[in-house]
Amino acid sequence: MSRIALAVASATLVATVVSSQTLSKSGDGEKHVKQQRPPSGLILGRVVDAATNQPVVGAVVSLGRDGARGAGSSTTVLATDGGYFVFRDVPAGTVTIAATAAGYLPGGLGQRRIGGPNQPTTVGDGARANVSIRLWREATLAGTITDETGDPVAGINVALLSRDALGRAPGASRSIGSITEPYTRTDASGAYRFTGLVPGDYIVAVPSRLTQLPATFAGADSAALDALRTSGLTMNSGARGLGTMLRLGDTLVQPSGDSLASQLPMTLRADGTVVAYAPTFFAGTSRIDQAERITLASGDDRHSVNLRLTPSVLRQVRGRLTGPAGPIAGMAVHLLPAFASDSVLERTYEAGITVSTGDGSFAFAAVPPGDYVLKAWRLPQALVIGTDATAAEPTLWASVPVTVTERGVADVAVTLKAGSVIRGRLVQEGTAAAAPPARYQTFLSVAFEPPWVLAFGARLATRVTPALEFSTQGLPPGRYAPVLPNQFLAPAAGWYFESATQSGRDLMLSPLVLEPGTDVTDVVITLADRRTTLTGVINDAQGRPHPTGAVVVFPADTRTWIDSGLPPLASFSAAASQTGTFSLDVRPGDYLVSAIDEARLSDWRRDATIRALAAQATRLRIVRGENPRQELRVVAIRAQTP
Amino acid sequence: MTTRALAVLMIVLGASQGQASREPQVREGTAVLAGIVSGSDGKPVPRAVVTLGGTVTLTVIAEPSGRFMFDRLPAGRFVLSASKAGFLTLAYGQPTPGRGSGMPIELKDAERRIDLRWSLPRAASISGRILDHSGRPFRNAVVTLQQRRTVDGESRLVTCCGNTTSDANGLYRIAGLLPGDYLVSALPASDYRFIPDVLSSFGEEMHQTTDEEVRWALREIESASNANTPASPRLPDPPRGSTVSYGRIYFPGTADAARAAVVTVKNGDDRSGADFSMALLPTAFIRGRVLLPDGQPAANASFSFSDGWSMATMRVGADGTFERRNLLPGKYTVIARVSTPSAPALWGSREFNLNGTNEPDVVITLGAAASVSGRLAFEAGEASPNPGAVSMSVMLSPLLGTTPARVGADGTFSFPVVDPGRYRLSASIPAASRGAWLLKSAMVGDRDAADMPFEVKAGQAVTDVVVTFTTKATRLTGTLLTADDQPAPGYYVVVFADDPAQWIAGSRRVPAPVRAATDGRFAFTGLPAGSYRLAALTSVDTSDLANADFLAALKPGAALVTLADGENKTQDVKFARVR
Repeated sequence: MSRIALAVASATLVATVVSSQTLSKSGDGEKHVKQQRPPSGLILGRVVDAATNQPVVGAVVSLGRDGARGAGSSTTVLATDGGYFVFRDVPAGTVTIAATAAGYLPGGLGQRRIGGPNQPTTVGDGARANVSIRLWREATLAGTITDETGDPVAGINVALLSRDALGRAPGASRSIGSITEPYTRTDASGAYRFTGLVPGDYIVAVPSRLTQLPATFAGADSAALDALRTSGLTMNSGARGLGTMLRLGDTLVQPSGDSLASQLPMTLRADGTVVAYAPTFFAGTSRIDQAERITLASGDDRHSVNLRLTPSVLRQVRGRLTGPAGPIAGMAVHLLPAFASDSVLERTYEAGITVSTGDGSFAFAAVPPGDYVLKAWRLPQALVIGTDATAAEPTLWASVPVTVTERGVADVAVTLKAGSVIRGRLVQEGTAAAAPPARYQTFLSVAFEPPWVLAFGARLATRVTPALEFSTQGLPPGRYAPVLPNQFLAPAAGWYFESATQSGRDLMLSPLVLEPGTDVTDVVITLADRRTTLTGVINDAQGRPHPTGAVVVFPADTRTWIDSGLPPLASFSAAASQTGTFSLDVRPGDYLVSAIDEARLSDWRRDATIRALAAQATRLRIVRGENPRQELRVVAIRAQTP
Repeated sequence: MTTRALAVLMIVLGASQGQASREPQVREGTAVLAGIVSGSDGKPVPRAVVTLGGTVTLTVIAEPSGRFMFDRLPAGRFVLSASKAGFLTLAYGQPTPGRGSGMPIELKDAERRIDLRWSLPRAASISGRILDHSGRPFRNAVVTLQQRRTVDGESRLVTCCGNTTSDANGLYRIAGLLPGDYLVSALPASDYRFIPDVLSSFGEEMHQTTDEEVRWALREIESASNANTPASPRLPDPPRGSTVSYGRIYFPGTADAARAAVVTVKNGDDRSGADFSMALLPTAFIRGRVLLPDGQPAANASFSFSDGWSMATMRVGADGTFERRNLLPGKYTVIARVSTPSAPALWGSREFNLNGTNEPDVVITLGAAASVSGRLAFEAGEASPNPGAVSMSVMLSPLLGTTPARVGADGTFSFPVVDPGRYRLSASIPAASRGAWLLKSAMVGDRDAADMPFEVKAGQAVTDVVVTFTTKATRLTGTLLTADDQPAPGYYVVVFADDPAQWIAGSRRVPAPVRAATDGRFAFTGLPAGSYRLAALTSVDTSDLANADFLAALKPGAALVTLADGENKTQDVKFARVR
């Protein structure tokens, strides 16, 4: 259970950070000795372990001058075994100090939480300062990959998915954060090891992907393969050719050669069946939703995260691709595990890709049993942001769930339909000069990102008329959670994003649902010519300014958003200054406002954390242009500490 | 068709990578290859990866019983190889892992070879612990193995066998090793950016903080922070700490590869306890000037900097100055060159042995550069390629500071600036225009520099080099026969020059060994005219041929064969009924 307590996070305070004021002040008292010394600063510092405050041995510390690049722009020293370092002759100006040490995550002066930024510091003439740098221990994760006989598997790729990559509800995954998927390769003993990990939840996977083409493609030149790009076919060996492919009946199979794929050979048995390893997640499942999440804290050295791969007998999936004008030949067909469909995982866990032949038929010759989605699409040619989006060709899409059993799947009908369109209008409330429609085109092109990550990436064009009516290109059905980056809070000069609604529903709180064959025509995006800013101060329990506080602002209507993730523009957060003050741009609305320690800024959007915060938060109605001030106290979220 | 449930195959399309694989072909036939892969103890190796190379390329995983099968094969020539974690990769008919090659298998249509058996030796491993200078575990060190090999006639350290990273306890283990002699070394992890690198200025100079500096700085700060008393006079600055860096450290704890301990492993050895400590090494800088023969600065001269492993080329400043900092202990060579179309080229060089001591005032005075020039000639015969229309090039090897010379329209070529040394010379014609032309000789005086290195001395101009192409390739073929005139399969055939002066590694006169096929046949093409010795051996490695003692021992028992220009000769080799 989550529990909230009011507390001062004194243990997490940075031991000593010398502010720019301190540095300048110490310089003031020395005017009469100026002729004896050059007007430059002296910085003495110590590198300590953030958890134990013990000195870090072997730390390398670099002082960089702000804005300077190339040779001579930085000075590097090796700290003593006591963790001390000295920078002499530091010229006046803004500097940053970075520190690294074996076994620690990179850090530096002014870093207040794991993964947080270093803070530049201003050095006055002749300043002398004593500073402290805290480094957090890296986490590591290691294990061994074995085959079904228990023998080590050498040279296979192992991927590590961080919590950010996992997503939550379908359609919400992109709003969770950037995807980071480091990978490594097992050595001759089947062992792998990830180092330099930040605390968090991880999933270990051995991915595999098979590109499968009709045998008639054996002679295809690269131009023919390039032509398939609009339906998403990219060959692992690049567009330059087919590379090495294996023949299974009337199908050519290419074990993926890309960075994240298994390169295990397959076995074709005398009875005609093919055996290969399916994607496997720790602790030994082929479904990511059954994968074990490994929670790492700073300094954890997890080992024995071992995976035993079990080969599956691969089955066939056959079907036929048709469109509005009959069978479609030469179009890529994508096979996605059900867990990956409509999420960022489409990119890495696509199980196979093939191409339809002359009569529209397609075949996957090597598919491990399981739940999949077959997808196919054709995008309009001129799908480039900034161009006229009224392409003659419609977007075609198909999405068909299939369950592959031990008998395989035959005769799947995959019927492509025209995409649906999202239409609406932009409403400018205010008197500022209207921005040109083209400016809003960029804004809207990222506003409605299809959940079909593989198909669309960021390629989507939206047309905006002079009357500020807009329409997207044809889109596949699904949940469209607006994923506006924060800079689009001000999409055009003098205009600020305020709301997006459809049929009166707030799209920031629940995604727009695009149904097959039905356009959405009533989206209203409201812009205002006044910025709304929340300012305030964060104090500790004694009422003193809290130096490492952060403010979080999230919608008061928790029922609506809790299951759909928390889109960036539904919530706001910012670190406070060392004197506890904060200022952040927000959208008008009903909010809950709370203060946390900055160390929690990276993970406060977890469901349980928000629920816990909500119980303690201050309710606040923010009205356009009113710029409220709020005094807050830091709450510690104890139950959530890993 | 066999009734046993065997692992079968996949036909691979597209023989090799690259442009040539654009139009792969499906190859199918009726021949069969099958067998069992076992370990050296005779027990089957379950699920070994068996690959078939040659006419088609195929991969299978053997059954848990060690059995494998390739069916539907076309007629052709194949080599089989098996690998498995914990074992050494070995080809069928290969006498020793890592040496020589497998015995090619000739298959006819519908032929069935289902009794192939060979055993994989166990792989060795080396393990140990990396510590820091104070005896604590050093984590994330990249541990690498190197072996001494002869490259271009010189003994060099070659990185091999993969690498690993020390764990949180400093422990490492590198498995899958061939028997042999290894040097174990370690560097901090690759993302550690303070390792000097000759090729870039990426490594930053790092000063060691001294206790004296820390005490001084503390006193300075205390006096400054006491606001009520006038600031005390500044204390004298203590000297800065010396510059240091992590560099490659070899087991048992030396930065000098020559002092490294050799770790010898035999088949299946698990060698543990190769523990050693990382150490900080003193770094130094080299600073100086490049001067023209008249003492004026050689502005913007080309400037090469080498540590014997890699070389960086840059330009000196407009005032002729140069500087390289953050240099680990070792031997460095600096070469400066000035080459303009209008004047004779200039050249100068210096060598340094650094060990933490700076070289702050180096002067390199340029003198006349050595050069090599000559022309191409085509023997009468087919129409020769036109040097003006086809981009032909001439190369000096080793490629030290020279780039291939383009051949002019008149057939001449020139290397205006050549570092003193010994070179071989070769020439190439683009494949599209080559036709049947091949290099016959590259004569420097009476020496064929295509095979025999020639000496270039400082300042020397080597002229009148004649590079001759011919369309008449020699061909030496034959069959190995037993005393009963039966084909003797599987032996290695070695051909080498009769004259010991021509026993030079990489020379065309000491070609790589050829493995006779199952029908006993072998062939060598393109040997230069001359006298050769021909021998058949049960086992040989290319590296053996770089060893003059090895060839001298072979020579007395080897058959003498003389090839004339363009001659096509057959020389069968019959084994005597001895032993």
